[in-house]
Amino acid sequence: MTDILMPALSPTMEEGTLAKWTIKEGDRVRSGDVIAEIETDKATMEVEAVDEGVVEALLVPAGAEGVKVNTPIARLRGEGDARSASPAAANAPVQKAAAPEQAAGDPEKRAPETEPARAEGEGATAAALARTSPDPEMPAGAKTVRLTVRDALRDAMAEEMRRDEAVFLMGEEVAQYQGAYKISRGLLEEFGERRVIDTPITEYGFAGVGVGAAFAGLRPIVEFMTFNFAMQAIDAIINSAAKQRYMSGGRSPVRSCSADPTAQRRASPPSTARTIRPGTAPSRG
Amino acid sequence: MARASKAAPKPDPKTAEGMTASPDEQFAWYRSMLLIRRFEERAGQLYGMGLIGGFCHLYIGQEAIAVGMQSIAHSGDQVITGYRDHGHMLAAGMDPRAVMAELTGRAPGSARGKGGSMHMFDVQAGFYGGHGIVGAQVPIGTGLALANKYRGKPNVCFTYLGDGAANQGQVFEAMNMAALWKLPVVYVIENNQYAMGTSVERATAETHLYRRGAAFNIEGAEVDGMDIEAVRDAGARAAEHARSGGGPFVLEMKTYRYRGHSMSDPAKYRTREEVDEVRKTRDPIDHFRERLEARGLGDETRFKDIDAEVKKIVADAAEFARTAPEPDPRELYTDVYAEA
Repeated sequence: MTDILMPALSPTMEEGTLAKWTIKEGDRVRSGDVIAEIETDKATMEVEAVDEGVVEALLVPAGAEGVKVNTPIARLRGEGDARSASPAAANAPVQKAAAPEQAAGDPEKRAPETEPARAEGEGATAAALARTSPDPEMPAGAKTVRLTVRDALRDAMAEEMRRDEAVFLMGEEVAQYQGAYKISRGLLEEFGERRVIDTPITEYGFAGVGVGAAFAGLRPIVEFMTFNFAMQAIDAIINSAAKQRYMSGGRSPVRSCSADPTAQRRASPPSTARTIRPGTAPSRG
Repeated sequence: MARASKAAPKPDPKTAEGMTASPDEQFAWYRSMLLIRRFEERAGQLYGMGLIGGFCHLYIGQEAIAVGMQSIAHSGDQVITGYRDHGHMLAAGMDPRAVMAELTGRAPGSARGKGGSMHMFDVQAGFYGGHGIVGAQVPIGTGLALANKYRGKPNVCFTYLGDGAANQGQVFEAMNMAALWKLPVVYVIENNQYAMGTSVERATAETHLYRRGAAFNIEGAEVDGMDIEAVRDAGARAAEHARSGGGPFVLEMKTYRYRGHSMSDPAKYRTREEVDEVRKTRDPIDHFRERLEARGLGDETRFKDIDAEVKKIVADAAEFARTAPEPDPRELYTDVYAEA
């Protein structure tokens, strides 16, 4: 018997939704066959079989949310395996119910044990703010909304773009691909290709182009896929943008900012996973 | 498909192709070139007197390019260049006093004495610097062109670079985006034959710089940059191409600088004879004066009046730059951050 495990579809994925099975119990699968569709917070992706055999049992029902990576989701019977007796199948419904519920369970109930870790990771909960903010007072009656840092960044950009016609987004995969890390998801649809611009993978060049647009009084958001790649453009960021206000005696209207989606991950080298907090380029108004 | 086409034939000196300029206009170009020449000579002198700290790159010999291009620019067009920038600033109409006082690092200088020779900026004049990093102005100029297109403005950004900058990677990155997005930018390569001390032949595998955009299907033309009317003709065609939605254009201006790369350059990489030969046979100002005379447009008095007026402007600017107060030390801490 071979268990098929819930796969991680990106380095940051911890759980996902098993959207759809494309096989059923009793089917024979070959390596490379599509067996399921899995949704993460970034995308829906197809899962292919690696091992060959006959589907003995589907352990997680279609539509199950919050299925943890590495949870067994199906069981295959290989050539040499005897047909299993009922215990495995009998266990399956229990596991089916348990996996999604455990993951998708009410966060409040598990709060004591997971709160610190979540606060570190997301940094946006009221508890985390209370610990780090110099002003721990939350305004009376303030409501907090739980959302990912990714969506918060996207919402902030969208808000600015709705408020000010001069704000636009340019960078690697920000438009049609919806953002390499999905930070710009939905922006192309709302603002169109004039204001959400895919660039070639030429950081030095497009950073300078963004600085030039800022010289003309526009407010570009220049996104580097990771800030490590912005090292290519450090001359444009520092010499052309950051110093300009001082060197021109305040006569250059340059104003720009850069988005910096970077995180440390196991097996990610410093060339692609180093986080550097750049000084904000001088901005006006 | 010969997109990168070799330059047009020399224009007929009597009627520059496609453009008829009044005698007054022609004298205005002459005056503008002469103003740059005299201004730069005086800047060189002030440097020698220890009044100009930092850097100082003179434009002497290349005047026909900045003046010729400016003469075909439309209102709202932008100019951006590298560090050999005094000529472009004067051609754009910046105040000679403010420019000279910036060279001497004085409070009423264009950048309040904090930018110096390479970092002046005047949005009203359409002048966007003045950049000290070789080639850095090229993506920035491309971004200015992007802003024109973004706002639907019928303007062109004239982005100047030298033969040295033409080898920079970021220049190619910018050209690619300009062609991809059909941005209204004219790249003006001022090929004065030496990138500091390294001749074009020693620095680049393709010495025909008007072909720099060929990899991106950007048209180019080679132009006699010592002939202001040739500059105007080619400039007007390139600008029209960019303005009408045709995308970028590359102009290679064949020119020469008479002085060293900077004030501290003894220019040992070329002979005295080479410099003298260009001065004698191709000088843009002498050449154009002869042409005006041949056209019977002006008498001796008119030239003398212009000479005298220019000398006066330059002397006044130099005196202003010498005597104006230095910036308050507190200026070190201003213009660093802005209110967000």
